[in-house]
Amino acid sequence: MRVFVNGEPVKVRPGRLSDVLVSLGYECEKIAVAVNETFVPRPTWDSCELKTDDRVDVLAAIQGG
Amino acid sequence: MSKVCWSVYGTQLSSRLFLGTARYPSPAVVEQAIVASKTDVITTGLRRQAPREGGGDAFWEFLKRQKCHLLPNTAGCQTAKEAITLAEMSREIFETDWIKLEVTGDEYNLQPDPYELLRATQELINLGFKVFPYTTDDLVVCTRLAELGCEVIMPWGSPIGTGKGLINPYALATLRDRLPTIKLVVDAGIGLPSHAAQALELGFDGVLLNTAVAKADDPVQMARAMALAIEAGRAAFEAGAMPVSETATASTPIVGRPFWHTK
Repeated sequence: MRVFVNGEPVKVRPGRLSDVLVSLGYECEKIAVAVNETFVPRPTWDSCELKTDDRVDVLAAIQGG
Repeated sequence: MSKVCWSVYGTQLSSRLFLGTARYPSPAVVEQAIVASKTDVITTGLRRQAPREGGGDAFWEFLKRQKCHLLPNTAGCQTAKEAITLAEMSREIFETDWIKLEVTGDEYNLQPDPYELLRATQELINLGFKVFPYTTDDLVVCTRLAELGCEVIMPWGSPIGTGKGLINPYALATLRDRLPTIKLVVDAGIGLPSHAAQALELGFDGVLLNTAVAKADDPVQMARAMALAIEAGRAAFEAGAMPVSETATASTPIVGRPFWHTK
């Protein structure tokens, strides 16, 4: 199915958010995720089933002012 | 330098400077600037991360070395909902309930949107955050932020990155006068150490700045200059300034002055 990851369309196998993140190559501990602009806490990644056209944002720390 | 102690949301701080970590010429320079500034609070942000970029591992190593409190921001957010989501993500990543709340209402001068800011502040406080709202110097907005429970409020000196200093000292002085129990931090617009000193002389509790140091020819030296100015400004505030007069008053005693000054 198609989902949008950081604004880009990608094909993924239907499944849980945690599995999709691994399939995309996200392995680092220090990321935070929102789906459809709603925060998804890390402990709930396993119970979050992604749907077609869901918008996934994966964020990490950077310098800031 | 004398140890200055104050607290924000129950956290003791030894510096009145919050320093941004962006726009420096190199990672080495920002580390040196942090040391030179003597700050114990640095700001951070979040951005989209591509797979296998390492989740910002190098930046995490940098953060761990600083031994500073982290103040994550919500830069770039234009609605309360965006800011709340980003704050929740920041809390998970940075493991702090501090949030520098920025909700932009105008892209031209990056002016905060007071309506969205107040909505986001209310919700974030309900969610247990300790909110550091970046706001204009509007008295009513700042009063509402205080009423919502903000212990610290951060009005701008001038728009972000302009370096124009305190363009409305009257408004800032009014905030100090009307919100005597709130920690006030000038956030944005500081360009020179004299601007920072002026904020402290007005009775502000601190300043938050980034570009003034990062874009100086020598950021490390400028960081040191800011630290000195902030210490001087605070000392001057505590000392109490002399009253301003419209007319001259001789400093030298006039008793016994030489005859050639009299008719």
